[in-house]
Amino acid sequence: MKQLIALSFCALLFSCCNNNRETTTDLDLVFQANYGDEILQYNTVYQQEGGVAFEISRSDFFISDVRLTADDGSEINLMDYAQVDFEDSPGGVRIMIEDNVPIGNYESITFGLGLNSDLNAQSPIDFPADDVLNNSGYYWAAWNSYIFSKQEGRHDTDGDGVPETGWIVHTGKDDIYKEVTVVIDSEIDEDNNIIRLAIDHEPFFMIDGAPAEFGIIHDPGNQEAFQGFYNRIADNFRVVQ
Amino acid sequence: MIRVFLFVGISIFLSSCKKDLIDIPYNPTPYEVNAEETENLGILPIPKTNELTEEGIRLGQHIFFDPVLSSTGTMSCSSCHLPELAFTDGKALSVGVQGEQTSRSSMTLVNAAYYTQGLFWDGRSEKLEDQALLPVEDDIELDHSWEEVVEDLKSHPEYPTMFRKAFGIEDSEEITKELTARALGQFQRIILSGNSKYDRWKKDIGVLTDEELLGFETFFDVNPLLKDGECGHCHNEPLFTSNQYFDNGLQEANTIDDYGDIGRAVVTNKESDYGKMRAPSLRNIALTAPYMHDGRFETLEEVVEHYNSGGHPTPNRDPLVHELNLTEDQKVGLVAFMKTLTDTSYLENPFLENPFE
Repeated sequence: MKQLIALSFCALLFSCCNNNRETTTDLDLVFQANYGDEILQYNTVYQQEGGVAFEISRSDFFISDVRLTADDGSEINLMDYAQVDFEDSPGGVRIMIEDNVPIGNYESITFGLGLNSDLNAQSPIDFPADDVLNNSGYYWAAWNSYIFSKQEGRHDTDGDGVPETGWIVHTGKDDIYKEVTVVIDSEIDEDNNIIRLAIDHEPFFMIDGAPAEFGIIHDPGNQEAFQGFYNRIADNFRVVQ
Repeated sequence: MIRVFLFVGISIFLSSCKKDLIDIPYNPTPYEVNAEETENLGILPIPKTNELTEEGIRLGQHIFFDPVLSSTGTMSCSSCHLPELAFTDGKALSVGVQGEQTSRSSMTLVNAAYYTQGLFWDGRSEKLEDQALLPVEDDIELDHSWEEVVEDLKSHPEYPTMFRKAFGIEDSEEITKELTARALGQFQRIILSGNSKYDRWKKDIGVLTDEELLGFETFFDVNPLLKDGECGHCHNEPLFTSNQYFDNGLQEANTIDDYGDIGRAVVTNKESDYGKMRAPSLRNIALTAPYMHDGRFETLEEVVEHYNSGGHPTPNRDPLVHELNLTEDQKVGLVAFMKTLTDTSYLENPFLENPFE
Protein backbone atom coordinates (compact mmCIF):
# COMPACT_ATOMS: atom_id res chain seq x y z
CA MET A 1 0.00 0.00 0.00
CA LYS A 2 2.87 2.33 0.89
CA GLN A 3 4.39 1.62 -2.50
CA LEU A 4 1.13 2.47 -4.20
CA ILE A 5 0.90 5.77 -2.34
CA ALA A 6 4.52 6.57 -3.20
CA LEU A 7 3.88 5.72 -6.84
CA SER A 8 0.79 7.91 -6.93
CA PHE A 9 2.71 10.74 -5.33
CA CYS A 10 5.51 10.45 -7.89
CA ALA A 11 2.99 10.37 -10.72
CA LEU A 12 1.35 13.50 -9.32
CA LEU A 13 4.72 15.17 -8.99
CA PHE A 14 5.70 14.39 -12.57
CA SER A 15 2.32 15.51 -13.71
CA CYS A 16 2.84 18.85 -11.97
CA CYS A 17 6.27 19.16 -13.55
CA ASN A 18 4.81 18.49 -16.97
CA ASN A 19 2.16 21.09 -16.43
CA ASN A 20 4.84 23.58 -15.42
CA ARG A 21 6.84 22.88 -18.56
CA GLU A 22 3.85 23.48 -20.71
CA THR A 23 3.22 26.88 -19.17
CA THR A 24 6.48 28.37 -20.39
CA THR A 25 8.24 28.51 -23.72
CA ASP A 26 11.45 29.59 -25.41
CA LEU A 27 11.33 32.99 -27.00
CA ASP A 28 13.37 34.39 -29.87
CA LEU A 29 13.77 38.12 -29.80
CA VAL A 30 14.91 39.16 -33.27
CA PHE A 31 16.09 42.62 -34.24
CA GLN A 32 16.29 43.51 -37.90
CA ALA A 33 17.96 46.58 -39.34
CA ASN A 34 15.80 48.39 -41.85
CA TYR A 35 16.26 51.32 -44.13
CA GLY A 36 12.69 52.33 -44.81
CA ASP A 37 10.82 49.15 -45.58
CA GLU A 38 13.87 47.26 -46.80
CA ILE A 39 16.60 45.43 -44.91
CA LEU A 40 19.56 47.75 -44.36
CA GLN A 41 22.57 47.00 -46.56
CA TYR A 42 25.98 47.96 -45.21
CA ASN A 43 28.26 49.95 -47.51
CA THR A 44 25.42 50.67 -49.91
CA VAL A 45 24.82 54.22 -51.05
CA TYR A 46 21.66 55.80 -49.65
CA GLN A 47 20.40 59.27 -50.47
CA GLN A 48 19.39 61.59 -47.69
CA GLU A 49 16.18 63.38 -48.69
CA GLY A 50 17.31 66.86 -49.63
CA GLY A 51 20.82 66.03 -48.50
CA VAL A 52 23.82 63.98 -49.48
CA ALA A 53 24.70 60.44 -50.45
CA PHE A 54 25.96 58.30 -47.62
CA GLU A 55 26.72 54.76 -46.51
CA ILE A 56 26.37 52.92 -43.24
CA SER A 57 29.20 50.57 -42.27
CA ARG A 58 28.32 49.89 -38.66
CA SER A 59 25.18 49.86 -36.57
CA ASP A 60 24.91 48.40 -33.11
CA PHE A 61 23.54 49.16 -29.67
CA PHE A 62 23.08 47.72 -26.21
CA ILE A 63 19.71 46.94 -24.68
CA SER A 64 19.06 46.36 -20.99
CA ASP A 65 16.22 45.46 -18.62
CA VAL A 66 14.33 43.69 -21.37
CA ARG A 67 10.85 42.68 -20.27
CA LEU A 68 7.41 41.79 -21.51
CA THR A 69 4.20 43.32 -20.21
CA ALA A 70 1.27 40.95 -20.14
CA ASP A 71 -2.32 41.92 -20.81
CA ASP A 72 -2.97 41.96 -17.08
CA GLY A 73 -0.14 44.45 -16.54
CA SER A 74 2.31 42.03 -14.99
CA GLU A 75 5.90 42.10 -16.22
CA ILE A 76 8.15 39.21 -17.21
CA ASN A 77 11.87 39.93 -17.16
CA LEU A 78 13.60 38.46 -20.19
CA MET A 79 17.23 39.47 -19.77
CA ASP A 80 19.48 41.99 -18.09
CA TYR A 81 21.41 43.13 -21.15
CA ALA A 82 22.55 42.22 -24.62
CA GLN A 83 24.27 43.78 -27.56
CA VAL A 84 22.54 44.01 -30.92
CA ASP A 85 25.17 44.18 -33.66
CA PHE A 86 23.98 44.07 -37.24
CA GLU A 87 27.40 43.51 -38.80
CA ASP A 88 26.90 39.89 -39.72
CA SER A 89 23.15 39.76 -39.97
CA PRO A 90 21.31 43.00 -40.67
CA GLY A 91 18.29 40.88 -41.52
CA GLY A 92 17.98 39.50 -38.03
CA VAL A 93 20.03 39.47 -34.85
CA ARG A 94 18.52 36.68 -32.80
CA ILE A 95 18.55 36.67 -29.01
CA MET A 96 17.18 33.47 -27.54
CA ILE A 97 15.48 33.39 -24.17
CA GLU A 98 15.34 29.82 -23.03
CA ASP A 99 12.23 28.32 -21.57
CA ASN A 100 11.25 30.93 -19.04
CA VAL A 101 8.58 32.89 -20.83
CA PRO A 102 5.10 32.10 -19.55
CA ILE A 103 2.64 31.32 -22.30
CA GLY A 104 0.07 34.05 -22.55
CA ASN A 105 -1.05 37.29 -24.12
CA TYR A 106 1.38 40.17 -24.11
CA GLU A 107 0.74 43.78 -24.75
CA SER A 108 4.24 45.16 -25.19
CA ILE A 109 7.95 44.68 -24.89
CA THR A 110 10.10 47.24 -23.08
CA PHE A 111 13.85 47.67 -22.97
CA GLY A 112 16.37 50.34 -22.18
CA LEU A 113 18.31 51.60 -25.18
CA GLY A 114 21.83 51.36 -23.81
CA LEU A 115 22.69 50.30 -20.28
CA ASN A 116 20.84 51.22 -17.12
CA SER A 117 22.73 53.27 -14.55
CA ASP A 118 23.70 50.26 -12.42
CA LEU A 119 25.32 48.51 -15.34
CA ASN A 120 26.79 51.73 -16.64
CA ALA A 121 28.47 52.36 -13.30
CA GLN A 122 30.70 49.40 -14.06
CA SER A 123 33.44 49.11 -16.63
CA PRO A 124 34.96 46.38 -18.83
CA ILE A 125 37.40 45.38 -16.11
CA ASP A 126 34.43 44.14 -14.05
CA PHE A 127 33.34 41.55 -16.59
CA PRO A 128 34.91 38.32 -17.82
CA ALA A 129 36.43 38.23 -21.28
CA ASP A 130 33.49 36.45 -22.89
CA ASP A 131 30.96 39.03 -21.72
CA VAL A 132 29.88 41.74 -24.15
CA LEU A 133 30.45 44.31 -21.42
CA ASN A 134 34.13 43.35 -21.29
CA ASN A 135 34.64 44.97 -24.68
CA SER A 136 36.65 48.11 -24.00
CA GLY A 137 35.86 49.31 -27.50
CA TYR A 138 32.43 50.10 -26.09
CA TYR A 139 33.59 51.99 -23.05
CA TRP A 140 34.47 55.64 -23.14
CA ALA A 141 36.63 56.68 -20.23
CA ALA A 142 36.02 60.37 -20.81
CA TRP A 143 32.32 59.80 -20.14
CA ASN A 144 32.74 57.15 -17.44
CA SER A 145 30.17 55.41 -19.54
CA TYR A 146 29.66 52.61 -21.94
CA ILE A 147 28.99 53.58 -25.52
CA PHE A 148 25.31 52.77 -25.87
CA SER A 149 25.20 52.83 -29.63
CA LYS A 150 27.58 53.09 -32.55
CA GLN A 151 26.58 54.07 -36.05
CA GLU A 152 29.31 54.77 -38.58
CA GLY A 153 29.80 55.14 -42.29
CA ARG A 154 30.85 57.55 -45.00
CA HIS A 155 29.17 60.48 -46.68
CA ASP A 156 29.72 62.53 -49.80
CA THR A 157 31.34 65.88 -49.21
CA ASP A 158 32.51 66.81 -52.69
CA GLY A 159 29.18 66.50 -54.46
CA ASP A 160 30.06 63.63 -56.79
CA GLY A 161 27.52 61.33 -55.20
CA VAL A 162 30.21 58.99 -53.88
CA PRO A 163 30.58 58.80 -50.09
CA GLU A 164 34.25 59.27 -49.25
CA THR A 165 34.42 60.97 -45.85
CA GLY A 166 33.86 59.12 -42.60
CA TRP A 167 31.07 59.92 -40.14
CA ILE A 168 30.31 58.44 -36.76
CA VAL A 169 27.78 58.90 -34.03
CA HIS A 170 28.55 57.23 -30.73
CA THR A 171 26.11 57.80 -27.90
CA GLY A 172 26.21 57.11 -24.19
CA LYS A 173 25.99 58.47 -20.63
CA ASP A 174 23.31 57.98 -18.01
CA ASP A 175 21.49 61.19 -18.73
CA ILE A 176 20.42 60.20 -22.23
CA TYR A 177 19.31 56.69 -21.30
CA LYS A 178 15.67 55.95 -21.82
CA GLU A 179 13.36 53.04 -22.22
CA VAL A 180 11.63 51.99 -25.38
CA THR A 181 8.25 50.30 -25.36
CA VAL A 182 6.94 48.61 -28.48
CA VAL A 183 3.36 47.38 -28.60
CA ILE A 184 3.30 43.77 -29.73
CA ASP A 185 -0.24 42.75 -28.80
CA SER A 186 0.55 39.12 -29.27
CA GLU A 187 -0.10 35.70 -27.86
CA ILE A 188 3.10 33.83 -27.09
CA ASP A 189 3.07 30.07 -26.97
CA GLU A 190 5.21 27.18 -28.20
CA ASP A 191 4.11 27.74 -31.80
CA ASN A 192 4.25 31.50 -31.76
CA ASN A 193 7.40 32.41 -29.91
CA ILE A 194 9.23 34.94 -32.01
CA ILE A 195 9.11 38.68 -31.47
CA ARG A 196 10.66 40.48 -34.41
CA LEU A 197 11.46 44.14 -34.03
CA ALA A 198 12.62 46.33 -36.89
CA ILE A 199 14.72 49.41 -36.31
CA ASP A 200 14.40 51.83 -39.20
CA HIS A 201 17.66 53.67 -39.87
CA GLU A 202 16.32 56.12 -42.44
CA PRO A 203 14.93 58.59 -39.87
CA PHE A 204 18.29 58.71 -38.07
CA PHE A 205 19.51 61.08 -40.74
CA MET A 206 16.62 63.52 -40.83
CA ILE A 207 15.70 66.18 -38.27
CA ASP A 208 12.19 67.62 -38.52
CA GLY A 209 12.08 66.90 -42.24
CA ALA A 210 15.52 68.40 -42.92
CA PRO A 211 18.69 66.41 -43.56
CA ALA A 212 20.92 65.97 -40.51
CA GLU A 213 24.55 66.94 -40.81
CA PHE A 214 27.16 64.23 -40.79
CA GLY A 215 30.27 64.49 -38.69
CA ILE A 216 32.35 62.95 -35.94
CA ILE A 217 29.95 63.00 -33.03
CA HIS A 218 31.04 61.31 -29.85
CA ASP A 219 32.36 63.80 -27.35
CA PRO A 220 30.69 65.27 -24.26
CA GLY A 221 30.94 68.75 -25.75
CA ASN A 222 28.62 67.63 -28.51
CA GLN A 223 26.00 65.93 -26.40
CA GLU A 224 23.08 67.72 -28.01
CA ALA A 225 23.96 66.19 -31.36
CA PHE A 226 24.33 62.66 -30.15
CA GLN A 227 21.34 62.92 -27.86
CA GLY A 228 19.19 63.83 -30.84
CA PHE A 229 20.54 60.88 -32.77
CA TYR A 230 19.98 58.57 -29.79
CA ASN A 231 16.39 59.72 -29.56
CA ARG A 232 15.86 59.00 -33.22
CA ILE A 233 17.10 55.47 -32.68
CA ALA A 234 14.82 55.03 -29.68
CA ASP A 235 11.80 56.36 -31.58
CA ASN A 236 12.04 54.08 -34.56
CA PHE A 237 11.51 50.55 -33.34
CA ARG A 238 8.41 48.73 -34.49
CA VAL A 239 7.14 45.21 -34.34
CA VAL A 240 7.20 43.14 -37.52
CA GLN A 241 4.19 40.87 -37.74
CA MET B 1 53.47 -23.62 -24.52
CA ILE B 2 56.74 -21.90 -25.36
CA ARG B 3 54.82 -19.69 -27.79
CA VAL B 4 52.43 -18.66 -25.06
CA PHE B 5 55.28 -17.69 -22.74
CA LEU B 6 56.93 -15.83 -25.58
CA PHE B 7 53.71 -13.97 -26.37
CA VAL B 8 53.14 -13.06 -22.74
CA GLY B 9 56.76 -11.97 -22.39
CA ILE B 10 56.60 -9.76 -25.46
CA SER B 11 53.30 -8.31 -24.32
CA ILE B 12 54.72 -7.43 -20.91
CA PHE B 13 57.79 -5.92 -22.57
CA LEU B 14 55.73 -3.84 -24.97
CA SER B 15 53.38 -2.83 -22.22
CA SER B 16 56.25 -1.61 -20.08
CA CYS B 17 57.70 0.29 -23.05
CA LYS B 18 54.41 2.12 -23.53
CA LYS B 19 54.41 3.39 -19.96
CA ASP B 20 57.90 4.77 -19.70
CA LEU B 21 56.88 7.73 -17.57
CA ILE B 22 54.37 6.17 -15.22
CA ASP B 23 56.74 6.03 -12.25
CA ILE B 24 57.20 9.80 -12.30
CA PRO B 25 54.72 11.49 -9.97
CA TYR B 26 51.98 13.57 -11.57
CA ASN B 27 50.83 16.14 -9.03
CA PRO B 28 50.48 19.44 -10.87
CA THR B 29 50.49 22.53 -8.71
CA PRO B 30 47.89 25.17 -9.64
CA TYR B 31 49.59 28.42 -10.59
CA GLU B 32 48.36 31.27 -8.46
CA VAL B 33 48.17 34.50 -10.40
CA ASN B 34 49.21 37.40 -8.23
CA ALA B 35 46.07 39.50 -7.78
CA GLU B 36 48.11 42.67 -8.05
CA GLU B 37 49.16 41.68 -11.56
CA THR B 38 45.60 41.59 -12.85
CA GLU B 39 44.05 44.25 -10.63
CA ASN B 40 44.28 46.86 -13.35
CA LEU B 41 43.67 44.53 -16.26
CA GLY B 42 40.52 42.65 -15.33
CA ILE B 43 39.62 39.02 -14.86
CA LEU B 44 42.36 36.87 -16.41
CA PRO B 45 40.80 34.69 -19.11
CA ILE B 46 41.91 31.09 -18.56
CA PRO B 47 40.33 28.37 -20.68
CA LYS B 48 38.94 25.43 -18.72
CA THR B 49 40.75 23.14 -21.13
CA ASN B 50 44.12 24.56 -20.18
CA GLU B 51 44.21 25.58 -16.53
CA LEU B 52 47.45 27.13 -15.35
CA THR B 53 49.83 24.89 -13.44
CA GLU B 54 53.38 25.55 -12.39
CA GLU B 55 54.50 22.45 -14.26
CA GLY B 56 52.68 23.46 -17.44
CA ILE B 57 54.10 26.96 -17.33
CA ARG B 58 57.59 25.65 -16.58
CA LEU B 59 57.37 23.39 -19.62
CA GLY B 60 56.12 26.25 -21.76
CA GLN B 61 58.94 28.44 -20.47
CA HIS B 62 61.55 25.92 -21.56
CA ILE B 63 60.04 25.36 -24.98
CA PHE B 64 59.61 29.11 -25.53
CA PHE B 65 63.32 29.74 -25.05
CA ASP B 66 64.55 26.52 -26.69
CA PRO B 67 65.61 26.55 -30.37
CA VAL B 68 64.24 23.03 -30.66
CA LEU B 69 61.24 24.48 -32.51
CA SER B 70 63.32 25.70 -35.47
CA SER B 71 64.60 23.65 -38.39
CA THR B 72 68.14 24.95 -37.95
CA GLY B 73 68.15 24.73 -34.17
CA THR B 74 69.11 28.38 -34.07
CA MET B 75 65.87 30.21 -33.27
CA SER B 76 63.30 29.98 -30.55
CA CYS B 77 60.08 31.88 -29.90
CA SER B 78 62.18 34.26 -27.83
CA SER B 79 64.28 35.21 -30.85
CA CYS B 80 61.42 37.45 -32.00
CA HIS B 81 59.87 37.97 -28.58
CA LEU B 82 62.51 39.23 -26.20
CA PRO B 83 61.31 39.75 -22.63
CA GLU B 84 63.20 43.00 -22.17
CA LEU B 85 61.49 44.49 -25.26
CA ALA B 86 58.03 43.61 -23.99
CA PHE B 87 58.39 40.38 -25.95
CA THR B 88 59.00 42.06 -29.31
CA ASP B 89 62.28 42.05 -31.24
CA GLY B 90 63.12 45.67 -31.95
CA LYS B 91 63.05 45.09 -35.71
CA ALA B 92 60.73 46.60 -38.28
CA LEU B 93 60.15 43.17 -39.77
CA SER B 94 61.14 39.99 -38.01
CA VAL B 95 63.78 37.74 -39.55
CA GLY B 96 63.36 33.96 -39.82
CA VAL B 97 65.75 31.03 -39.63
CA GLN B 98 67.05 31.46 -43.20
CA GLY B 99 67.65 35.18 -42.74
CA GLU B 100 64.55 36.10 -44.69
CA GLN B 101 62.28 38.91 -43.50
CA THR B 102 58.71 38.22 -42.54
CA SER B 103 56.04 40.57 -43.85
CA ARG B 104 55.08 42.01 -40.48
CA SER B 105 56.52 43.28 -37.25
CA SER B 106 56.69 41.09 -34.17
CA MET B 107 53.76 41.78 -31.81
CA THR B 108 54.09 42.13 -28.07
CA LEU B 109 53.07 39.11 -26.03
CA VAL B 110 52.51 41.17 -22.91
CA ASN B 111 48.94 40.65 -21.66
CA ALA B 112 48.32 38.31 -24.60
CA ALA B 113 45.90 36.35 -22.42
CA TYR B 114 43.51 39.25 -22.79
CA TYR B 115 43.66 39.39 -26.60
CA THR B 116 40.42 37.54 -26.95
CA GLN B 117 39.35 38.75 -30.38
CA GLY B 118 42.13 37.09 -32.33
CA LEU B 119 45.91 36.95 -32.36
CA PHE B 120 48.47 38.10 -34.92
CA TRP B 121 47.95 41.40 -36.72
CA ASP B 122 45.10 39.88 -38.70
CA GLY B 123 43.54 37.81 -35.91
CA ARG B 124 43.95 34.53 -37.73
CA SER B 125 44.29 32.53 -34.51
CA GLU B 126 41.49 32.62 -32.01
CA LYS B 127 43.49 31.59 -28.97
CA LEU B 128 47.04 31.22 -27.76
CA GLU B 129 47.00 27.47 -28.17
CA ASP B 130 46.19 27.88 -31.89
CA GLN B 131 48.65 30.71 -32.37
CA ALA B 132 51.52 28.69 -30.96
CA LEU B 133 51.21 26.12 -33.73
CA LEU B 134 51.73 28.45 -36.68
CA PRO B 135 55.27 29.94 -36.55
CA VAL B 136 56.88 26.48 -36.39
CA GLU B 137 55.73 25.52 -39.87
CA ASP B 138 55.90 28.97 -41.42
CA ASP B 139 58.50 28.78 -44.20
CA ILE B 140 60.03 32.10 -43.28
CA GLU B 141 59.79 31.93 -39.49
CA LEU B 142 60.92 28.64 -37.90
CA ASP B 143 60.58 26.57 -41.10
CA HIS B 144 60.24 23.27 -39.27
CA SER B 145 57.62 20.52 -39.16
CA TRP B 146 55.64 19.58 -36.10
CA GLU B 147 56.29 15.90 -36.77
CA GLU B 148 60.01 16.46 -36.39
CA VAL B 149 59.63 18.78 -33.43
CA VAL B 150 57.51 16.22 -31.62
CA GLU B 151 60.03 13.47 -32.35
CA ASP B 152 62.81 15.69 -30.96
CA LEU B 153 60.76 16.35 -27.83
CA LYS B 154 60.02 12.66 -27.34
CA SER B 155 63.68 11.71 -27.50
CA HIS B 156 64.88 14.66 -25.44
CA PRO B 157 66.50 13.77 -22.10
CA GLU B 158 64.23 16.11 -20.08
CA TYR B 159 61.07 17.05 -21.96
CA PRO B 160 59.20 13.73 -21.58
CA THR B 161 59.48 14.06 -17.81
CA MET B 162 58.32 17.66 -17.98
CA PHE B 163 55.33 16.71 -20.15
CA ARG B 164 54.52 13.98 -17.62
CA LYS B 165 54.58 16.45 -14.75
CA ALA B 166 52.58 19.02 -16.67
CA PHE B 167 49.94 16.91 -18.35
CA GLY B 168 50.10 13.44 -16.81
CA ILE B 169 51.08 11.58 -19.94
CA GLU B 170 52.13 8.03 -19.21
CA ASP B 171 54.46 7.57 -22.11
CA SER B 172 56.64 9.89 -24.17
CA GLU B 173 54.77 8.71 -27.27
CA GLU B 174 51.84 10.76 -25.98
CA ILE B 175 53.71 14.02 -26.57
CA THR B 176 51.91 15.95 -29.28
CA LYS B 177 52.02 19.35 -30.87
CA GLU B 178 48.73 20.14 -29.15
CA LEU B 179 50.23 19.51 -25.70
CA THR B 180 53.24 21.57 -26.68
CA ALA B 181 50.94 24.40 -27.70
CA ARG B 182 49.07 24.12 -24.40
CA ALA B 183 52.33 24.55 -22.51
CA LEU B 184 53.24 27.57 -24.61
CA GLY B 185 49.75 28.94 -24.07
CA GLN B 186 50.11 28.67 -20.32
CA PHE B 187 53.47 30.37 -20.42
CA GLN B 188 52.21 33.28 -22.52
CA ARG B 189 49.12 33.66 -20.39
CA ILE B 190 51.16 34.76 -17.38
CA ILE B 191 53.05 37.54 -19.17
CA LEU B 192 51.18 40.28 -17.35
CA SER B 193 51.86 43.96 -17.11
CA GLY B 194 49.45 46.33 -15.39
CA ASN B 195 51.44 48.33 -12.90
CA SER B 196 52.69 51.28 -14.90
CA LYS B 197 53.12 54.84 -13.73
CA TYR B 198 49.71 55.53 -15.27
CA ASP B 199 48.09 52.69 -13.32
CA ARG B 200 49.56 53.98 -10.09
CA TRP B 201 48.41 57.52 -10.86
CA LYS B 202 44.89 56.21 -11.42
CA LYS B 203 45.01 54.84 -7.90
CA ASP B 204 46.30 58.14 -6.53
CA ILE B 205 49.77 56.74 -6.06
CA GLY B 206 52.19 59.10 -7.70
CA VAL B 207 51.58 61.99 -10.05
CA LEU B 208 51.75 62.69 -13.75
CA THR B 209 53.66 65.68 -15.05
CA ASP B 210 51.79 68.51 -16.74
CA GLU B 211 53.04 67.20 -20.08
CA GLU B 212 51.77 63.70 -19.34
CA LEU B 213 48.43 65.07 -18.14
CA LEU B 214 47.99 67.06 -21.33
CA GLY B 215 48.72 63.88 -23.23
CA PHE B 216 46.18 61.96 -21.15
CA GLU B 217 43.50 64.58 -21.79
CA THR B 218 44.26 64.56 -25.50
CA PHE B 219 44.40 60.78 -25.67
CA PHE B 220 41.00 60.27 -24.05
CA ASP B 221 39.31 63.50 -25.09
CA VAL B 222 38.79 64.36 -21.45
CA ASN B 223 38.83 68.10 -22.01
CA PRO B 224 36.33 69.26 -24.65
CA LEU B 225 38.29 72.49 -25.01
CA LEU B 226 41.26 70.60 -26.44
CA LYS B 227 41.59 69.10 -29.89
CA ASP B 228 40.75 65.42 -29.65
CA GLY B 229 43.57 62.94 -30.29
CA GLU B 230 40.98 60.20 -31.01
CA CYS B 231 43.43 57.66 -29.54
CA GLY B 232 41.26 56.07 -26.87
CA HIS B 233 38.71 54.66 -29.27
CA CYS B 234 41.05 51.96 -30.51
CA HIS B 235 43.52 51.95 -27.61
CA ASN B 236 41.17 52.03 -24.68
CA GLU B 237 41.72 51.06 -21.08
CA PRO B 238 42.50 48.75 -19.44
CA LEU B 239 44.62 47.07 -22.12
CA PHE B 240 45.08 50.15 -24.26
CA THR B 241 43.65 48.18 -27.13
CA SER B 242 40.02 47.49 -27.90
CA ASN B 243 41.08 44.18 -29.49
CA GLN B 244 39.38 45.31 -32.68
CA TYR B 245 40.56 45.77 -36.24
CA PHE B 246 41.06 49.09 -37.99
CA ASP B 247 42.38 50.60 -41.16
CA ASN B 248 44.36 53.52 -39.81
CA GLY B 249 45.14 55.09 -43.16
CA LEU B 250 48.67 53.76 -43.10
CA GLN B 251 48.77 52.16 -46.53
CA GLU B 252 48.20 54.08 -49.74
CA ALA B 253 45.17 52.55 -51.39
CA ASN B 254 42.59 54.08 -53.67
CA THR B 255 40.70 50.83 -54.05
CA ILE B 256 40.76 47.64 -52.04
CA ASP B 257 42.99 46.10 -54.68
CA ASP B 258 45.71 48.60 -53.82
CA TYR B 259 46.34 47.41 -50.28
CA GLY B 260 49.82 45.92 -50.05
CA ASP B 261 48.77 43.97 -46.99
CA ILE B 262 45.06 43.18 -46.81
CA GLY B 263 45.25 42.40 -43.08
CA ARG B 264 42.06 41.18 -41.46
CA ALA B 265 40.52 40.34 -44.83
CA VAL B 266 42.88 37.35 -45.00
CA VAL B 267 40.64 35.83 -42.36
CA THR B 268 37.21 37.21 -43.15
CA ASN B 269 37.47 37.76 -46.92
CA LYS B 270 35.23 40.80 -46.49
CA GLU B 271 35.87 43.88 -48.61
CA SER B 272 35.16 46.01 -45.56
CA ASP B 273 38.07 44.34 -43.72
CA TYR B 274 40.73 45.03 -46.35
CA GLY B 275 43.65 46.87 -44.82
CA LYS B 276 42.47 46.44 -41.24
CA MET B 277 44.91 45.32 -38.54
CA ARG B 278 44.40 44.49 -34.90
CA ALA B 279 44.99 47.56 -32.77
CA PRO B 280 48.04 46.62 -30.70
CA SER B 281 48.16 47.30 -26.99
CA LEU B 282 50.01 50.46 -26.09
CA ARG B 283 51.11 49.08 -22.74
CA ASN B 284 54.91 49.14 -22.81
CA ILE B 285 54.79 50.93 -26.16
CA ALA B 286 58.02 52.74 -25.33
CA LEU B 287 59.76 49.36 -25.50
CA THR B 288 58.26 48.04 -28.72
CA ALA B 289 59.67 50.29 -31.44
CA PRO B 290 59.56 50.34 -34.40
CA TYR B 291 55.84 50.79 -34.82
CA MET B 292 52.92 49.68 -37.01
CA HIS B 293 52.42 46.28 -38.61
CA ASP B 294 55.30 46.91 -40.97
CA GLY B 295 57.51 48.75 -38.51
CA ARG B 296 57.64 51.83 -40.71
CA PHE B 297 57.85 54.33 -37.87
CA GLU B 298 60.91 54.31 -35.66
CA THR B 299 59.62 56.68 -33.00
CA LEU B 300 56.40 57.51 -31.20
CA GLU B 301 56.75 61.06 -32.51
CA GLU B 302 56.40 59.71 -36.06
CA VAL B 303 53.35 57.74 -35.01
CA VAL B 304 51.70 60.83 -33.57
CA GLU B 305 52.51 62.78 -36.73
CA HIS B 306 50.86 60.08 -38.81
CA TYR B 307 47.62 60.25 -36.86
CA ASN B 308 47.72 64.03 -36.73
CA SER B 309 47.85 64.07 -40.52
CA GLY B 310 44.91 61.70 -40.85
CA GLY B 311 46.88 59.28 -42.99
CA HIS B 312 45.82 58.19 -46.44
CA PRO B 313 42.14 58.31 -47.47
CA THR B 314 41.88 54.58 -48.06
CA PRO B 315 38.60 52.80 -48.84
CA ASN B 316 38.29 51.41 -45.31
CA ARG B 317 40.00 54.11 -43.29
CA ASP B 318 38.29 54.40 -39.95
CA PRO B 319 36.20 57.59 -39.61
CA LEU B 320 38.10 58.43 -36.45
CA VAL B 321 41.37 58.59 -38.37
CA HIS B 322 41.23 62.10 -39.77
CA GLU B 323 43.22 65.29 -39.64
CA LEU B 324 43.49 66.26 -35.98
CA ASN B 325 45.22 69.64 -35.95
CA LEU B 326 46.84 68.95 -32.59
CA THR B 327 49.12 71.60 -31.13
CA GLU B 328 52.82 70.89 -30.72
CA ASP B 329 52.30 70.71 -26.96
CA GLN B 330 49.58 68.12 -27.40
CA LYS B 331 51.81 66.01 -29.62
CA VAL B 332 54.63 66.14 -27.11
CA GLY B 333 52.13 65.37 -24.37
CA LEU B 334 50.80 62.32 -26.17
CA VAL B 335 54.26 60.82 -26.43
CA ALA B 336 54.95 61.59 -22.77
CA PHE B 337 51.65 60.02 -21.79
CA MET B 338 52.29 56.85 -23.77
CA LYS B 339 55.61 56.48 -22.00
CA THR B 340 53.76 56.34 -18.67
CA LEU B 341 52.36 52.98 -19.80
CA THR B 342 55.69 51.25 -19.31
CA ASP B 343 55.84 48.49 -16.71
CA THR B 344 58.52 45.83 -16.77
CA SER B 345 57.71 44.25 -13.44
CA TYR B 346 56.87 41.05 -15.34
CA LEU B 347 60.62 40.59 -15.76
CA GLU B 348 60.78 39.76 -12.08
CA ASN B 349 58.56 36.71 -12.53
CA PRO B 350 60.96 33.72 -12.42
CA PHE B 351 58.63 31.77 -14.69
CA LEU B 352 59.32 34.28 -17.45
CA GLU B 353 63.11 34.14 -17.30
CA ASN B 354 65.20 32.35 -19.89
CA PRO B 355 65.89 29.02 -18.15
CA PHE B 356 68.94 28.36 -20.30
CA GLU B 357 70.89 31.41 -19.16
